[in-house]
Amino acid sequence: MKLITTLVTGLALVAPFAIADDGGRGLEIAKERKARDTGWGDSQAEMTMILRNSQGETSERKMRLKNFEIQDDGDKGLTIFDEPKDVSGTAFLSFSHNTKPDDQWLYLPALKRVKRISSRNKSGPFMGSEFAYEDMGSFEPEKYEFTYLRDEPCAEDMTCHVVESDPVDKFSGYTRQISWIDTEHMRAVKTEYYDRKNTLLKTLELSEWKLYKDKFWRAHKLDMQNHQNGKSTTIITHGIEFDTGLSESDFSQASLKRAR
Amino acid sequence: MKKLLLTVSALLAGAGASPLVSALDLSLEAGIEGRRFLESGAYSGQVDDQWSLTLQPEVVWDAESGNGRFTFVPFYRKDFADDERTHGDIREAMFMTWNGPWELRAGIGKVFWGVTESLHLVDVINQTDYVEAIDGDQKLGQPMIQGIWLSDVGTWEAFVLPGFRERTFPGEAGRYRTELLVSGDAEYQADEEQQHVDLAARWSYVSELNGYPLDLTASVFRGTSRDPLLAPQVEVVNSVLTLTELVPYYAMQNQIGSTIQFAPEGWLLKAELLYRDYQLDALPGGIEVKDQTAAVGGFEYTLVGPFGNAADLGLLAEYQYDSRGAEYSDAQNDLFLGTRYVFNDMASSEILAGITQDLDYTGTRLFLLEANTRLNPSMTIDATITLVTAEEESLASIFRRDDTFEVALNFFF
Repeated sequence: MKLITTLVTGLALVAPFAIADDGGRGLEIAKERKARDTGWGDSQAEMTMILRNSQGETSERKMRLKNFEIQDDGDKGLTIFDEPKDVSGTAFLSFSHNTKPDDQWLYLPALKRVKRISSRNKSGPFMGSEFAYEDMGSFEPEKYEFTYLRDEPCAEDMTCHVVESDPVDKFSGYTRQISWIDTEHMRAVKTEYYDRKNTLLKTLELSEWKLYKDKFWRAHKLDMQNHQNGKSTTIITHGIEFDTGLSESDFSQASLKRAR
Repeated sequence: MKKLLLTVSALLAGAGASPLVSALDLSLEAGIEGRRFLESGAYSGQVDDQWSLTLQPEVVWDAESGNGRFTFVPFYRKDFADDERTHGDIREAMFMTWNGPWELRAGIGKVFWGVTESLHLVDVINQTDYVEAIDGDQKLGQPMIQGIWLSDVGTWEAFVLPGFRERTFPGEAGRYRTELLVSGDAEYQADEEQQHVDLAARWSYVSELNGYPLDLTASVFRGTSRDPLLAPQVEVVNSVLTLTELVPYYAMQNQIGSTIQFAPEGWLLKAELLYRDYQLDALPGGIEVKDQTAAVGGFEYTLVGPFGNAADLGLLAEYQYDSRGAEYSDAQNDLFLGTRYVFNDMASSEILAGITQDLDYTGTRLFLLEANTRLNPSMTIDATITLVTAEEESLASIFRRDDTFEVALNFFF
């Protein structure tokens, strides 16, 4: 008995700010969120990305996204840029992984060259936007440690679970993320990102949700506000199609060279 | 005539009704480029200012089925100073089709092999369009049939390359040239000359080492060398033996190449290895032809947001080696140090600056600075500064007076 007391006290001393014991509730919510979004197969979407600087000037990028679900690992994604025209044909391939850093490549059409993005660059901006490369990968519970914080009302008369997610990867640009997940459909409707100094860096709000295949919710508007530099990025999805006949071989370095 | 018109309009109408035309994509890239050379040329006839215009339309037709495509990309540059730099090329005219792990391409195209930044050693499929850019990044379209197969043990590619392209060289008015002009009449070791069919194959594989990505490739090539050996032509002019021009001699070669890229955390460690076996020992004029063992390797390390803003800073270092020595190569014992500053701004601004120092001739070095940004959604600007310092004995001395400031405006329609 004394031994147990000593052990517990010792732990408390070593990690006074250790993750609150939420009885595994945070992880449970994350797993349920992932489970509700499993089985969608493949999808293709057209998007417009609007970059806004602190003076309110805007710049638009048009792109297409192809996604392929991988059952036992993270998903595969291919993003092809159409505008501005000087980057037309530039393509970004990512293999998200559960337990190791994502693989990411960029294809530069003028040189016909595929370049690997080093795993540390994941915290860098995606095509000059307020989204980081790591924000573009799929949600995989294995990438975080979760803490359930509370339930509270959130946007559009919903109730949300508020969950903290701490990235496991030391090269993540974030110490933690706070997500609001609506209790009815388990969709992350808002996420706050805290930088390496644990200061609020960005807020992502997802809206204009639509239901696909009677099961899968997709947000058609993503607003990322950077609180530190005053810049923001909006991604508007114009349409998503599921079961488009994509196969895993459409997501390779070879297929990246014919992406358009 | 009327019948023809009717047929054409019927075709157009038919095409308009089909979804095929919606998959037809037309675009055009045009450019204006100005170069200012900071010193007068080393050789007679060379200009100090060089203006040119470029046009590059692109036609892409995607098959309705979603697994086939035809691309057509002609290119033309009008250079107002150097007639040899005024040239056209079909960069791409390629049919491609794919199905699951298979892909087949036939036509004219471009293929890039390699991982390093300062030198492209193993990249052998396409001929260099040297008058476009001295760094070798611009290539001439190569006729080819290419097969690709994705397997569990890597990606396999095979190439049949009918039709050889000769390297472009500047004319008398041009800069970055040899003192003697390069003849337009090339000589070949192969009896079939430009009709010799070259063969190549490549294997690439993504592996892992200690949990970090390891990218490997191995390649072979058999055929006419893309790198001409330049043989001085001796003629009797007014009873005096005179060197008149350089004749490009394209020898037969076999080569094996390999690239290795390892990506632990913020690092990209890269190497390219090449062994090239020429199928002759000496040029007809007696100049020795040496087999080549060459390597380039180094690292790229990226600092994300080091200045507290969105910008990334990349640090690059690469070492270049060539067994043939300084008489045959200007990348024989050289160190490249560079930095890439990516602004991550709306205009996609970037600056790349680097210096290549020859370690055999310490007075020989090349400084290069490239900056580019987007001025508006359909216009970009590139600025390039090239500075050459060279000892007289080093190969690079032919460029010693070719310091350049270059600006190009690119328009996208």
